[in-house]
Amino acid sequence: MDRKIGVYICHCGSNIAGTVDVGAVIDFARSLPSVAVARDYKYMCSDPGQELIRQDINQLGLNRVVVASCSPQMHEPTFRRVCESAGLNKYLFQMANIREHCSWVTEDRAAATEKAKALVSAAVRRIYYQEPLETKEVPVNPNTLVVGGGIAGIQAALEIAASGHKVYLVEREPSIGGHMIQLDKTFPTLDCSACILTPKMSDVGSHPNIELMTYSEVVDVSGYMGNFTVKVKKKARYVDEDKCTGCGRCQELCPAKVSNEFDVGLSQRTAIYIPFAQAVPNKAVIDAQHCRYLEKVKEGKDVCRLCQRGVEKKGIPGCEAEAIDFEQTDKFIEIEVGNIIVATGYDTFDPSPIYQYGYGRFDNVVTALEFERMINASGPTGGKVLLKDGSEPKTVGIIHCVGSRDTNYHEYCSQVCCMYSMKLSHLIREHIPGAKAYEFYIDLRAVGKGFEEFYNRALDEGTVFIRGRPSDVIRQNGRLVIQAEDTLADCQRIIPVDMVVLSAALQPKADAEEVARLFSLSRSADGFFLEKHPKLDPVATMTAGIYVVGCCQAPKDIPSSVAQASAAAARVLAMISAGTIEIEAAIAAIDEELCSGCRICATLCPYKAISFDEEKEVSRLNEALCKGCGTCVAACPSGAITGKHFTSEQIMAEIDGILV
Amino acid sequence: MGISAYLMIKMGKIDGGDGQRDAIRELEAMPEVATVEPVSGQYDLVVEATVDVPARARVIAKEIQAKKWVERVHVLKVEPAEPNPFLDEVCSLPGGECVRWCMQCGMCSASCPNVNQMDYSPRKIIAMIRAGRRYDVLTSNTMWTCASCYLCTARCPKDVKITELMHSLERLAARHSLRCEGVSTPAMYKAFINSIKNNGRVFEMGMMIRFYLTTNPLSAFRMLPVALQLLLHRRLAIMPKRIKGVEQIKAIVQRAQALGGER
Amino acid sequence: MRYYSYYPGCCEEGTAVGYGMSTQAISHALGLGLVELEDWNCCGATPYGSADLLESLGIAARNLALAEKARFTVPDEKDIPEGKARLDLVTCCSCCYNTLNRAISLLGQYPELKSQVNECLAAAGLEYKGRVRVRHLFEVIYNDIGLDFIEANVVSPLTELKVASYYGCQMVRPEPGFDNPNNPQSLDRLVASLGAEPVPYPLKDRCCGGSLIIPELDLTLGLIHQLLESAATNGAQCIITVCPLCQTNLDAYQSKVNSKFKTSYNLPILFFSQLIGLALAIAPESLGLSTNIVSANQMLDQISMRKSYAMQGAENG
Repeated sequence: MDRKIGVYICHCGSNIAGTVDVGAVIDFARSLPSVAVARDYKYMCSDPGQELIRQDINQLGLNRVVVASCSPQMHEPTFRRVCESAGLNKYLFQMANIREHCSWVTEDRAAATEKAKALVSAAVRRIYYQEPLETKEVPVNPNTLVVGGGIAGIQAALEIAASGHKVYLVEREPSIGGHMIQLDKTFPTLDCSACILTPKMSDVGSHPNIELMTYSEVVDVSGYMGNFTVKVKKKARYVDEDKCTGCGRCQELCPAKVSNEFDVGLSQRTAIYIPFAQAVPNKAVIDAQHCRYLEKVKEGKDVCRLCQRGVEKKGIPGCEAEAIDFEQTDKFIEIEVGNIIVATGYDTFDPSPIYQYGYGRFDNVVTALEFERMINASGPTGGKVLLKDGSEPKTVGIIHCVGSRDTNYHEYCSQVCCMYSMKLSHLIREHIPGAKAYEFYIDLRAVGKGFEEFYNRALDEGTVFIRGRPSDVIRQNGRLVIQAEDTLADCQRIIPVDMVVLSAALQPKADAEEVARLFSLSRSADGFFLEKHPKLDPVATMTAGIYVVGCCQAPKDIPSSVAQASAAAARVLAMISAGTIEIEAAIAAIDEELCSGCRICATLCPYKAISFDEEKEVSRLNEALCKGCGTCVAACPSGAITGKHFTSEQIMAEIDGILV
Repeated sequence: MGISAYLMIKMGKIDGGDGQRDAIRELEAMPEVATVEPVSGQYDLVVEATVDVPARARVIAKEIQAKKWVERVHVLKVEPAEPNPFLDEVCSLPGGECVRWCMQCGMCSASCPNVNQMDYSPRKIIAMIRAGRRYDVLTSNTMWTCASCYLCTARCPKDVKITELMHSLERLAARHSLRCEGVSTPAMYKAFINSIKNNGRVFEMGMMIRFYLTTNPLSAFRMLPVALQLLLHRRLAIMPKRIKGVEQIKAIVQRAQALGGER
Repeated sequence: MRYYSYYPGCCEEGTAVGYGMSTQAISHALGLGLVELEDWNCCGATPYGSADLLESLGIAARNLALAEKARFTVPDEKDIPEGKARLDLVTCCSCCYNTLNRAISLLGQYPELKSQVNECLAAAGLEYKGRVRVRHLFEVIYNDIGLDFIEANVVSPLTELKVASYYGCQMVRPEPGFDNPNNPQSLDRLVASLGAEPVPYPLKDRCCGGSLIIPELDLTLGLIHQLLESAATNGAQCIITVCPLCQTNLDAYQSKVNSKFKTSYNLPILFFSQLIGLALAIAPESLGLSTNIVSANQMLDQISMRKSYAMQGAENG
C-alpha cells in the first residue's frame, strides 16, 4: 500500500527549538521517502497542534504519523488519541524523542540538530513497516488489596469499602494501628492519637466489606493491573479467633517474658499476648519463638501450656473459651484483586551509631518514640515521664535531626520531627509542672496548617530553642550535659539536663528491598518506594495497578498520609468504576507452526506469561500477562516469536535510519 | 576590589559658598568615593565608597569626620558588591566548593577543642566567607588555632571539609599578605618549612631555636625544662641530618614556585 | 615474613626514638619486614600544607614516587616482585599517615593538580603514578598480622595491667578507615590480646594539640590535662599511643601539666609497639623504654612481680 507519512516537529517553546534547528530538520524530513508532509509547530501537544495532525489525516489521507517532540512517556497517549479520533489506528503512530534524548542533554546546536535528524529518519523508516494492531479489553477485578494496617492503610481501606466494593487488608502485626496507635497526642491539635484512631480501627474490624487479615504477610504477587493473584500467608496465631473473647486471662498466666515491641522495649510482655488494650482484632496471639511449649514440643516434651490448662493446683482455670489451639499451622490463601495499595509504613532510626549522643551508653537518653510510650497513659510507666531511678526529670533536652539531614546517615529531612519535638516539650511541661525543655534545632520546619501557631504556643510556654546541632552528650557530675554552639548568639552552650530525647529519623522499613521486589516497586535514592511522578502523581507507581501511600513512600505527617490514602482510594475506585482496562497490543505473538517446543521462552519469561501445550507440544502465550519485554522474541531459536510493534523489520529500519 | 561602604554624613555649619554643592564636590574628590547623594531625615548626605577591605571604610569615615563642616559620620553598612569575589576565590580552591553546602548547624564549632580561643568559630568563618568578609576572615586567628583534629570533618552532616578549609585560609592569608597579630603559629610553620628546605627533614632543635628567635626569645625559658628532659632521654638530636636528595627537594620547590604555587 | 616499605617520619630520629626502637624490636617476632624507604624526606605535615599547596603536595609526593620505585632485596628472597610489598608504604606516625594519604586523595581527585605535581617531581627526576597505598603500622599489625597471631605469641601476658588506649585524631579520622571513627575499638582489642585490661574512657579519640604545643603552649596544656584526667579517673595505669606527637605531648609535658593544674599525674605513656614488646618479653632497653620521660619502671616492676608470682604459683602447683 502506498505509504503517506506525516512528520510533525515540535518546538516545545524553546525547549527543543532553543537547541535544535527545527527548520533544518523539517527540510531534512521532507527529503525522506514516503513523507507526504512535514510541518513544525510551537506546541504539538496543544489543541491547535493536535488539530494540524487531524486535518492532515483527513485532508491529505495520511496513513502514518510521526511526531518528533518529547518523550513518549509524556505524550504518546495524547497523539495516539489524536490519530484514533481521525480514524487512524494508533499503532500507525510513532514518536521521535528529540527533547529528553536530544535538546535537553546538550548545548551543542550542531550536534543536537544532527541527532534530531537521525531520530526523525529512524522513526520515518520504522513507521513504514508498522501495521495496525488491535488492543484488547479485560475486566477489572473490583476487589482491592491494602497491604499495611497503619493510618494510611486504614484510611484507604475504609474509603474503598464505603463504595460497596471488597477490600482485603493484610497486616503483618497481630493488630492494626501501625505507629500512630503508639503515639500519645498528635500535633498541632494535641488530639489523643488513640481516641481519633480507634474509631477507624473499630470500623475496619467490623466493616462488612473489609476482610481483615492480621498476623499475615503477602508472599507472592503475580498478574497485571486489574487482575492480580496474591498469595497471603496467615501466620499461625495458635489462638482460634472465632472463640477468643479477648479477656486477657492467658496473659496473666503465661510465665514467659519478652521485650515488648509495642513499648519499644521499655516493658515486657508475655509469649501469649494481646498487643495492646485497643487492639483490632482484640484477640490473643502466641509468639511462637518465645512460647515454652512450642519450643519444647519439637523435642517431644510437653511443658507449660498454662494459658490453656490454667493453674490446677490453685483452681485457676485456663482459657475458658477453649480458644488456644497449638495444632494451628501457617495457612496460605490465594486472593484475586484488581488493585493493590502498599501502605507498609516506616521504621525509626536507631541512634546507637551516633556514639557521641550516648544512646545505649548513658541512662536517660531515649528516642522520641520511647518518650511517647512513656508519656502515653496506657504506656509502661502509666503516663509518667521517669528517669531510670524512678524520679521525674526537671530539665529535658530534645535534639532534632538525629539521623536526618546528615550525609553520614540519611540525607533527607524526616518532616515530622520539628513538630513532634515541640509537642513533646509541651507535654513535658503539662506532665511535670515547672519542668524546663530545651530544643536544639538547625531549622524549624512548621509548614502545615496550624503548625506556626503551635510554634508560637511553644515559645510562649517557655520552651528554650537553641539553634545549633549538639556535638556531644557527656556525663558530668552525675548529670547529662549537652554541648552545642548557639549559632544565633554566637557562643558555646553547655546545658546540663536530666534527660535527653533524640528526635530520630523516619527511615524505610528494614525489609523494604524485599517488599519492593514483591510488588515490583522501584525505590528512590533515599530507600523509600518511588512514586510515578514526584509532582503530579504521588500515589501511583511505575507498575500499573499498584499504589504506594503513607510513610513507605516518604516521611510525612498524619494529615498527609490520610490525604495520600484517599487519593489512592479514588484512583482505585476510578479503575473499578471504569470496569475494564485496555491491554497494550505491543506484545509477543507465537507462531505455533514454527515453534519447536524447546520451551526456552517459558523459562525466560519474567512475567510467567508463557505456558506449554502438552498435546500440541508448542508454547502458548497469555496475552494478558505479557508485557512485551521481548526476552522470548530474542531467545527463540526457531524465530517463532515476533514482538508485535517491535518486529525485526521495524527495528532494523530504525537502526538504518539512525546510521544513514 | 568591589566592597561597597555606605556612609551617612550630617553636615554642620558651612561658611559661605553654596554649602551642600561644595561639600559634595569635596567628598567626590576623595579617591575611593563613588557617589554622593543628598538625603532627607537625620542625615544630609549618603556616600557610597568602593574599598578593598572593610577596614578602609572606617579609615575613610575618620577622614570625613575630620573635615570642618562635618558634624557626624555614621558607617551604615559595608558589603561586598555582587558577585562575591572572596566566596568565588574560596570555591575555586581544590575542595573549596564544599563551603556552599554548609547549613550553619554549628556541629563543627561545638566539636572543636580550641573554639573558645578562636576569634570566630569554624561555622562563623564559613558564614563570613559566604558574606565576603575577606579581611576579617583572613586576619582572624581561627585557622591558626586549628589543631587539625578532624572532629568537625568527621561529624559534619553536609560533608564540608572544614579542616581542609582552615588550611586553605592559611594559604589565602599569605596570598593576600594578611596577617593575624598575636599568633606565633605562622612563625613556627615557617621555621618548620625552613628546616625541610635545608635538610629535607625537620631538625627539631634547629626549628625550635629559629622559632624562638623570630618570635619571643624569652618564652623559650618556659620550654627549657622540657628540652632538657628530652635531651637527657636521648630524644633531642644535636646535629641536623641532611638527606642525600636535598637538591631534589629544592628543585621540586623551585618548580612549584615557578608554576605559581597553588596557595 | 611480610615485607613493606617503611616511612619512619622525622620524629623517629628525635623525640620518637623509642618508637623506632620498639618497632624494630617487635618486627621480627611479628614477621614484619620493614625496609626503610631510601632517602625519604619530611612529609610536610600540617605546617607545609598551610603555606603552599603545590609545594606541600610536591614534597609529600616525592616519598610516594620513591616508594613506587623502591626495589629492595631481602636476605632469603629475590627482589620483591611487582604488586607486592613495594606498593604498601607503612608509617608509624599518625600525622605522616594523614598527610601522605591526603596527598594521595587530592592527587586522585584533581587530575590537573596531579599533573602539576608531576611536573614538579620531574624537576627532581621522579614521577608519581598513583599506585602506592600508605598504611599505618598499627593497622598493618591489626589486619595483616592479626590479633590472634599476637595473642598466640604472647610470652608475658600483661595481666591486670590497666591500659588506656589513646587513639589520637589522625589515625581514625577523617576517613572512616579500618575502625569506627565514632567509637574506635581496635587498640583496646590489642590490649586485651596482650592479656592486659583495656580501660574505656570518653576522651580516647580527642586531640592532644599536636604541633600547637610549641606556639600555643597554654592552650595545648589544657587539652593534655583533659586527656590525662579522663584516663586517670577511669583507672588507667598507663596510656598507649600510635603517634609520636601524641606521645611527646602526653609524656614530656606531663610535668608541666602537673605544675600548671596542680595535679600529680604519673602515667607512663607508651608507644603501642613498646607494649607489644613487653608482652613478647623483649627487654625493655631494646624497646627504648628508657627514653620515656615519665618512667615506666614502677609499671615494669609490677608486671615482673606479677609474672614471678604467676611462675611461683605454677611451680607450687
